[in-house]
Amino acid sequence: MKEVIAMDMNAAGVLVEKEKKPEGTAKRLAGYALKISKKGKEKEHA
Amino acid sequence: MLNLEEFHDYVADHIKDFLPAELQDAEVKKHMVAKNNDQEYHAITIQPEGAIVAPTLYMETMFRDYQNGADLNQMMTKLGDTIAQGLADGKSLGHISTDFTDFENVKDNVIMCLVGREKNQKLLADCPHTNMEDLAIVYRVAVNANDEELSSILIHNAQMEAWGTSVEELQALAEKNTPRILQPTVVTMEEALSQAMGIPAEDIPPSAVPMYVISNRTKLSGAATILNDEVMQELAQRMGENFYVLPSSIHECLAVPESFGTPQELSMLVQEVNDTEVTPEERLSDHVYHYDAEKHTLSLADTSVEELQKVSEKNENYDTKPDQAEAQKPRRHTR
Repeated sequence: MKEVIAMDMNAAGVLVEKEKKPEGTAKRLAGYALKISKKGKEKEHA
Repeated sequence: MLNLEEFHDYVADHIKDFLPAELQDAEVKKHMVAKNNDQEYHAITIQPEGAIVAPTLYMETMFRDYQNGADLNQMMTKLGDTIAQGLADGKSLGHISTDFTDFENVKDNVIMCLVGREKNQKLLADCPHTNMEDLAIVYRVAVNANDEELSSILIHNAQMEAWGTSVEELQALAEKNTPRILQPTVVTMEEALSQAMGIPAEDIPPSAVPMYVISNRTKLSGAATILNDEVMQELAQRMGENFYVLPSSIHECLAVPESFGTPQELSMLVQEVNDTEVTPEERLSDHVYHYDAEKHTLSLADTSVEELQKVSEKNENYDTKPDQAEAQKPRRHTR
């Protein structure tokens, strides 16, 4: 189980949203890096 | 095995068994909370008697752990501890309910965030916003921002009216405050991957294509940095040409030189990554933007708001006012 449980705070009806660093950043950026590099190589060889 | 609705019921019905004696009079409210892209989350709020601050916990992450075999009893114990800790931490937020009623107290903390317009129709109907192509700028009050987390309150229409302010004033304040509070960042893809993966930059193979990641120091809601013209001008200088902006997520955008490819090629790439690597709540857009350094404009490159409106099933998805058909000028921000 993850140590961090998703939680906000409700202060007299106002929702204070607490965001931690997103977990998926590395996966997302790596996805782009791979696809853009691949396209770059294809263009080089074309 | 419980389904998500049953899990939500179970937690609400049994959480008090895992709370300390002093919280046995607390009220447990089970409800749904709408987040970005109209994603709804199953929540419970624990309201101790007489308290003005109450933790709201979301079931989705816990439910995934439960489905993956985590022990329910252990999860409930952990949840009880988290609630008690949340209440202790939340005491410092007690001032918010009084501070929030007076605009003077919050105006130096109004910041901007970017969301997609099409998938946030419900949210945008209830919140002051400024349209920017297929995106919308929404406004938040930052309560706490550091390198690890961002706590903020989304500003709704009712609050704006109670404050007697306007969208224009919120926009002007957000332009001034956002760079100061969230601090824009532009790093190479290699640097960004190194930070995100926690490995040395020299271990990341350098790319033949220059790629930059535009965000802020918190790495949360950093996509709005593309509206900072000073940052965009510096990046154009660094790249030596105009560039395309890929909306990686609400947290960051990528920039590649315009000589790299066509907007259509890049748009297909964005859609592929959105479909496979980005959670529904974190998606910003499937489209690509072009930054023209000479004109200081950021505009949709692979399509237009009018085209999107034509293909949209719901005609009300885009309210195309005449000025929004033109390229948008990012505003100059005060650092």
